[in-house]
This record gives sequence, structure tokens and C-alpha cells, in this order.
Amino acid sequence: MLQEHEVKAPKVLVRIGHDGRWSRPIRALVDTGSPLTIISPDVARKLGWVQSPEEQPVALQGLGGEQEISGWMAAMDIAFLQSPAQEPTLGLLLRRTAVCVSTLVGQGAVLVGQHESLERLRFTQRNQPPFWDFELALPEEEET
Amino acid sequence: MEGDDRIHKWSVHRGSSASALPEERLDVLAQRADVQSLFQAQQQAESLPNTVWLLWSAIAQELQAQRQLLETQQKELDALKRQLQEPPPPQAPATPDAFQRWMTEHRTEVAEHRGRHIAVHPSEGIVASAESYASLEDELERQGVPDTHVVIEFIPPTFSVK
Repeated sequence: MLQEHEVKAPKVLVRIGHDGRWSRPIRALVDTGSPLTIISPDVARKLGWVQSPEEQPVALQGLGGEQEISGWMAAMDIAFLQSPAQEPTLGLLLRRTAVCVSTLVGQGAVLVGQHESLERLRFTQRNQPPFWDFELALPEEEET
Repeated sequence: MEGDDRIHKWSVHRGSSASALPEERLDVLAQRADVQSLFQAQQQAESLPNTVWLLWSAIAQELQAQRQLLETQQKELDALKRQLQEPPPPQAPATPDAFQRWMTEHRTEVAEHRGRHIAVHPSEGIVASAESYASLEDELERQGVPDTHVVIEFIPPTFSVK
């Protein structure tokens, strides 16, 4: 059963952008229950992000509500890609999206949450073979 | 018509000189030949505009046909250009199949990297593994692996082989 669950794990291929630099293609977990998109400090620092000494950290409730962690808000680009070879600017691109830079315990490098990310998109979920996952897309009115 | 007048004048002249001398008759014959050639030239001149017009019409029709063909071809070219220039539809599927397929088919190997970040190639499999994203990216840089060839995946500590 675990294998089936993991095959269906809602992951999307993303690249995170900041100041003209892009991360490697990362398989990011989609969490519709997360209020924020969370990016690990590793990824952010590789893109040149520096934690501001004046900025106050924001508190985040961990998965399952068992752990409280803190992070720093930042504006970054998120490119949802169809393949790692796709140019980030040609993917589904969300410019200067509010994200939280915080350690993701056991969740990888990027977790895509609601605020300014999923809430700006529509997604189709399929729980039947051969497609166990889902697709993200821009809302109809933004497709030109 | 000037040619007709000249023929008429010549006929009157011939009628009045039926009993002329041979020299005179020769002269008349020469005049008649002149008039005939003039008449033919005039006929050719009169028919020339019609021929030119017909030729021009044919050329104009051919030009029009060529222009329409060019316009059709230009439209087809424009459509092809648009297809090439337009970005793919703004849609992102979830997991790219090739990478997911490799991990599904090699679960035992993937399980050896629990709690680590791995870089997966769709045919070569795991090409690098590290404890953090930053150190994995450093390793990929060191190996010279292009961005376009691998995806980075985190293997959770709870990952199961079964």
C-alpha cells in the first residue's frame, strides 16, 4: 500500500528563481493544507538569498501540528516545469511569489503551499491509472 | 479609315487609266503594291493593341494567380512561425514519468538513500546523493551534470522498499 501511496504522491517539478538565478529542477511536494510555500535555506542561499538581520521570523506550524518552526519571508519566482530540459521562463511561471524560507524537516527542498502559489492555480487530480497524479495550470482567464 | 480612302483613290485612278502606257501601268502596279503594304501594315497596327491587351490580360491573370499562391504560402509560413514561437501551454504535469518510473522500478536502490537528496537521471538512475540540497548541487557541479539531465528528489526517512 505504501508503494501505491508514494506513486500517487503529489509532486511537481519546479525550479526556484531569485535575482535571475535558478535552482536545479526539484521534485517538490504539493501540500494543499500548507498556508505557505516553503523553500529550504539551502536552496535559497544557493540562489543568493541572504537573511535580513532586521526581519523578524514568522512562525509556522509543522505538519500534523506537532512541531512549530520559524522562517523568513522572501519573494521568489516559481517555475512549474514539464521536464528538466524546459526553460524556466517557458514553464508555468509565478513571478515574485511570497515564500517562506525555512527548514523542511523530512520534506525535501521545496513544499508548494497555498498563499500566492496554489491559490493562483487550478489543478486536476486523477486517482486512476495510468495517471496517478495531477496537473497544475493557470486559471482559464489568465490563459491567452 | 485612312487606308480605305487610299484604296478608293487608287481604284478611281486605275479606272481612269485603263488605256495607259506600259510604263504608266508599271507605275500603277508599284503604287498598288505600296498601298497594299500600307494597308497590311495598318491592319497589323490596328490589331496590335488587341494582341497586346490579350497578352497583358494573360500576364495579369498569371500574376494574380502567383500573388494568391504567395499569399497562401505566406499564411502557412506565418502559422508555422507562430507554432514555433508560441510557448507550450502553461500547464505542468506532476511527476515526469521517466524519473518516477526509474525510481519505482529501483526501489531497493532508492531506499539506500533514505533521508538524503538524490539526483536522478531517467536512464542512468541515481547519479549523485548528498545529505543536503546544497552539497548535492555542489557535487553535480563538480561532476559537470547539466541542469537539463537530472531532477533532484528527497527520499524521506520512512521510504519503504515494498
